[in-house]
Amino acid sequence: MAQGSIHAILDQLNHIILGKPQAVKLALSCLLARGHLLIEDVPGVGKTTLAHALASTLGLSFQRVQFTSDMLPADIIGVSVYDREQSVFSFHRGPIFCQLLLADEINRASPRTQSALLEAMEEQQVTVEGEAMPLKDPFFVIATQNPTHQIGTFPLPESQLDRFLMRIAIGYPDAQAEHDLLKGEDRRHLLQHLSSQLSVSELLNLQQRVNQLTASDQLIHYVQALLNYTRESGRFVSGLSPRAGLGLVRAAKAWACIDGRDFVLPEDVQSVLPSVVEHRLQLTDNSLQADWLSEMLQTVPIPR
Amino acid sequence: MQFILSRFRRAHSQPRVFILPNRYGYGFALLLVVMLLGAINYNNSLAHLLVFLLAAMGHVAMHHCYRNVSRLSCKPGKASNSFAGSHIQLPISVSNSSAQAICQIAIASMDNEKFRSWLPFRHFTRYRLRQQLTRLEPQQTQTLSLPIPAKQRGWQKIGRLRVSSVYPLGLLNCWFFLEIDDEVLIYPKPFGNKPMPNAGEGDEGKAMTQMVGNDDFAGFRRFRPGENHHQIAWKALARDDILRTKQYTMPSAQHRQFRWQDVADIVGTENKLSQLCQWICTAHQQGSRFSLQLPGQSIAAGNDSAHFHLCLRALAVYEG
Amino acid sequence: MKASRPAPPKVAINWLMATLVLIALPHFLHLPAWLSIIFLAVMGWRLMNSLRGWPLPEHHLLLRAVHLLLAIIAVVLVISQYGMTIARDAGVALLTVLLAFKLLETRDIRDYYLSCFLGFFLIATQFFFQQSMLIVLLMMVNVLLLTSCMISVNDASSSIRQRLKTSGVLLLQATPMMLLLFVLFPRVPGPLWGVANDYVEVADSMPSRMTLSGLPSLSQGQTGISEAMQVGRISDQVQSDAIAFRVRFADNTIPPNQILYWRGPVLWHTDGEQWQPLATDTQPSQPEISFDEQHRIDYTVTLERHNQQWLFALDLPDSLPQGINAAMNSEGSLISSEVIRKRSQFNLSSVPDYQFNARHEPLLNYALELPDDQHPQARQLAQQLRTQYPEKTDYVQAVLNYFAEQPFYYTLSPPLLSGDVIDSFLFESRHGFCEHYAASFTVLMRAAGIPARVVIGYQGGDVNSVDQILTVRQRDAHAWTEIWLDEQGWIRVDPTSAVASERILSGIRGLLPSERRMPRAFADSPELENLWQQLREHWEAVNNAWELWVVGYDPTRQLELLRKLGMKQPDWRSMAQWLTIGMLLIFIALAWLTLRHKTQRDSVAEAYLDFCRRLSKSGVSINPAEGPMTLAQKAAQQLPEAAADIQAITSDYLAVRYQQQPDKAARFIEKVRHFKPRSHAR
Repeated sequence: MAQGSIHAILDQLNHIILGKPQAVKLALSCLLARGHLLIEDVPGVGKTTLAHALASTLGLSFQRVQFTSDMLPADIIGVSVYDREQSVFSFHRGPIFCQLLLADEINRASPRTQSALLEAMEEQQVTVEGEAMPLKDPFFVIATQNPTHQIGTFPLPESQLDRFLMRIAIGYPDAQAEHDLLKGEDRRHLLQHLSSQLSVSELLNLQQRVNQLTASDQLIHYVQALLNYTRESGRFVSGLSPRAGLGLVRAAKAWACIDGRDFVLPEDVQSVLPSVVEHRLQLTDNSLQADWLSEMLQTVPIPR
Repeated sequence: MQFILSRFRRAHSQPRVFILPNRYGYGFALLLVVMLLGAINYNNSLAHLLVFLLAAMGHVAMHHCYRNVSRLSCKPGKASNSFAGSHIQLPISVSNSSAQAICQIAIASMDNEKFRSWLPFRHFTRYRLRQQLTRLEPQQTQTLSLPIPAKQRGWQKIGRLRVSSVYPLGLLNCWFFLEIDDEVLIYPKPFGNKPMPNAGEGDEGKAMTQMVGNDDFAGFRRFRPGENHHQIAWKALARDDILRTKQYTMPSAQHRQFRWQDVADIVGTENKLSQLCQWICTAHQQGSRFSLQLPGQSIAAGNDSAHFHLCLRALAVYEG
Repeated sequence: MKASRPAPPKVAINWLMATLVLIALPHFLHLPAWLSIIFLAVMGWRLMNSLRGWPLPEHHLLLRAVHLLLAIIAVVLVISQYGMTIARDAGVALLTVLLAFKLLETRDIRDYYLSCFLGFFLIATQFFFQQSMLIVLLMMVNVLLLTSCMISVNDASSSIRQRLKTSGVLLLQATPMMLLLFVLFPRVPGPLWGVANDYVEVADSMPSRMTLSGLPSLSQGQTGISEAMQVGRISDQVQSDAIAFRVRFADNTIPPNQILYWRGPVLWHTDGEQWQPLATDTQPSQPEISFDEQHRIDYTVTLERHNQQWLFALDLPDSLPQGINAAMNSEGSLISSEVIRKRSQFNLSSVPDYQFNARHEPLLNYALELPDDQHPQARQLAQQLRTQYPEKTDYVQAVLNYFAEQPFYYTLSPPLLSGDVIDSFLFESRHGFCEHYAASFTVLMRAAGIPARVVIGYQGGDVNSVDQILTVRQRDAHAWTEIWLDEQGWIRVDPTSAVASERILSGIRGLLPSERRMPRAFADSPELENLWQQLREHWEAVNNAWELWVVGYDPTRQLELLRKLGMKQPDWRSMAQWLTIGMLLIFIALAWLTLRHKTQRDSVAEAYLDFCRRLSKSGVSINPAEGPMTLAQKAAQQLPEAAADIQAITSDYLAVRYQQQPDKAARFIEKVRHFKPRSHAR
């Protein structure tokens, strides 16, 4: 069942998001790897549409939260309201109690609000007045932020960026895709006609399968070599953490799964590497943001 | 004690490995000679034994030192382009093909090509330590990055590297050379304090709005939970009972033009290029679009990484 | 542009300190206490710098002055203690002081190495004082630690265990070369420029006291048999276990204990208490000796140094010793041409049955001398017995009977004698050991007109049943009498045997207190006693071999060993030849040992690299950072004819490497072997 449904999912997504198969595949593999996704791009390239389409295609309950600077943690998590008729406090659940949460412009919220969300992402539960409430399973966060640094924004700190498995950019569509886009139907309209291709239990199964994919010693050696490069080369303020390494393997497994393999290849690692590591690394020499990613991939040899 | 030794690697393409005692090695040899004379003078058999033990240790150490260096294979990668005055980062992947760990390898690069001396020890003062490898386990590969000073704008050859070690006892120095013919493009050093030329007439106001926030009203949108209550269009609500928020958009930035005539008042070609380089870096960091005009060359506006490097490259190879 | 040398890491300095204290520890036994204290105090200063950050001399001008002052005081103290002459003790003391102060001011790598080298030197100086197996074991440990110190300064990141392991490997791999050099390195007989006095004077394994000498000589130098004998002035004979010499008999047949008289100097003159040899100006011609050649004993003596010229031989040698330059004097004693300053070895043959100056003895007058007005009671006894037994042999027997029948006791701790020592021994105390009996017997002989003289030397010895080596110790020292009879010459008479025949028959061991022989705990059970005995003999055999072949390995020994190993004409040339060959072999062995693992690569990787090589020959560019799938696609595009093969090989490779199906390895290797991309291309 799995391979067919994955194809169907990809087809449907690509039908909505035109000309961006790579970004779509990365986003899907991020979700299959049970990771949260950060999309960083200029407005209007289809961040929201992608999130919407993912939710509909995977049959997930969807909530969107627009982050602003005066937002409070309660605006996401929910508030306890005194019910006069029954004379008790009842908890009104916030938007976080969904399966796919789109956190729009996350860097506009205050650090307090950001960390409330990120904590919930990490722990899969929220604590209200001492009571722990589990979030839904599966629970994904797709956060977006604008790339240019502006006044009135609170860039996510390093430690919180680490909570996102991937950071991707969508980018402008190419000429053909843009042509189709302009000529075709309104995307928002199309979204409403999407059918869910997967039940929640099927999605959970798929995630389970991704987890059980074979990552051989040889592959682990390669991942280690990559991690070592970031630690030893002296080009980065600090190297990748073991968590990043775990994420890299998980993302590569999901990628291999989408490609219909039950084992992971170095190519899978190479495909997901930019999205997984780029937001976790900070160059020591900031004046030069040359193509260090492809250079890293060109330099670290694959164990034979 | 130890004779000058240079042994050869079996494989054809691999570099020749040299081994020589260093100053402490000669000191050790002197110690042994003095101790041997003492042992002979006092007819002390056990003192002979100690001298022989130490001499044999020196010999064993030579083998270990040679193995330590000769079992290291180095593959230099492609160095990144860099700014004059900063460092070229040359990635080197080192791997250990022996069954024991490789320890304490120093990689130095040629620093002072012109230095000449007939003294063998002084010869190595031409090399400067760039990177140290503390320990490499058997059958492992690691990637190091060698910071090599980027000296002048233009193409720079990386030249000769010296990979050496005195491990384990520090009495012998074992080394081989790596010849790297790759050339790296060095961009001008970014400096200068001239303010950045403005994008055009009246652009300053727009730049301000871009900095302050989203002031351009763009329309309404249906309210979604979590949205800022201040942005709710209350008047519209009164009209048709639908919660809406006011939407704002950002103005797109005008592109900046960096032209040769903007730096005409700066003395010296290099300083001019440095100033241009400074602007380009700043603009790139701010994410704004810019174009570059040099005598006989003009690069259209852009703001992505490729454009950034294209402009820098033009500055680097500029021949006034 | 002189680059400053890097400072050694603190860990390395702490290690070096610990090691140097361990190296200096044995020296504390003989260094003056104040010096040990200065050494430890200076080390403590440095240690507090490491632990608590106390300032070092380099940090403060005042401290630098204190450091300098302390160093000067220490050197002055050393000079005042030992004087200005460069001698062994002074040298070691100076080296220790120097080392401590050098370590205190160790700032950079060069200082560190200098400290290490001085440490090696200090290890070597230990052999001036001790040469036991234990001290060599300690040397190995010290070298191991000092080497790990040198490693720690080069590889500070490694753990203590790693460092010790590395230096252990170095030590172990160095052993063959060490042994080869030890055996074959041509030994040069020393000394090259002269030897410090105190090194010669204090023999390493001998105490500075002597059994037979009148005074327990605590002063340096007087060891072994002295050339004089004083009776009755010491109460407790010092029982020393120090070895005087070792004997190996030809064919390992050891003669019975009662003929093992090891002849040393002969004493003639006496003043009543002290006995002395002949004055040198009265040395006459060669003695006239005839031997009964039937019982001839061949043996080799290894004599410890005793700083005199005597050589000890089984009574009586029929030829001059081989391997040493010596002559026999008129009294039948062997005298070396040089003072025995080092362990010496010589071959001898002796015949126990002999006639010495049977026809004529030119020195008879000296053998009858007695001091006037002394020993009146002894003279009276002699007179009385002589008239009773006119025949000389009867008289001798009567005197021996007198010793045997009267209540005389053999004891190693006799009472002190006063006044006329001979008379008070013979008629009052009657407790004594060999020299009391020898002296009084000789007096009784001379008083009766029979020429007599005292011979001193050793009697008996311990036979080790393991290596059949007879060890003669200082406690085996003995004195006996020789009398001259017409037509028979000098005859040995041992009055001690009349009193205590077991001393002569089974040696002195049986007379020692039992705790001197074995631990008290073992004495109760015969099995344990037996076991103890066996262990002791094995240990002594090992020790004998050690002393003879390792400590005593010198040019002569070297030639002997090489001859035994089959070298016909060992000289420095042939030694150098063999040494070169041996070193070359070790060099090759070590090179193989260190470099052999290079080709240990797994065959799958080898085959895959081979596959890549073949592809690159066909024009496909190979990038080591490129994945196998990417490479396969690229190659299949460029070589469409070989695409199927490339796909098959790659899928097998993926199966082995990434799908954990190692069973496909053989098939993969086989496929690569038959892969020929170029033949497809044509």
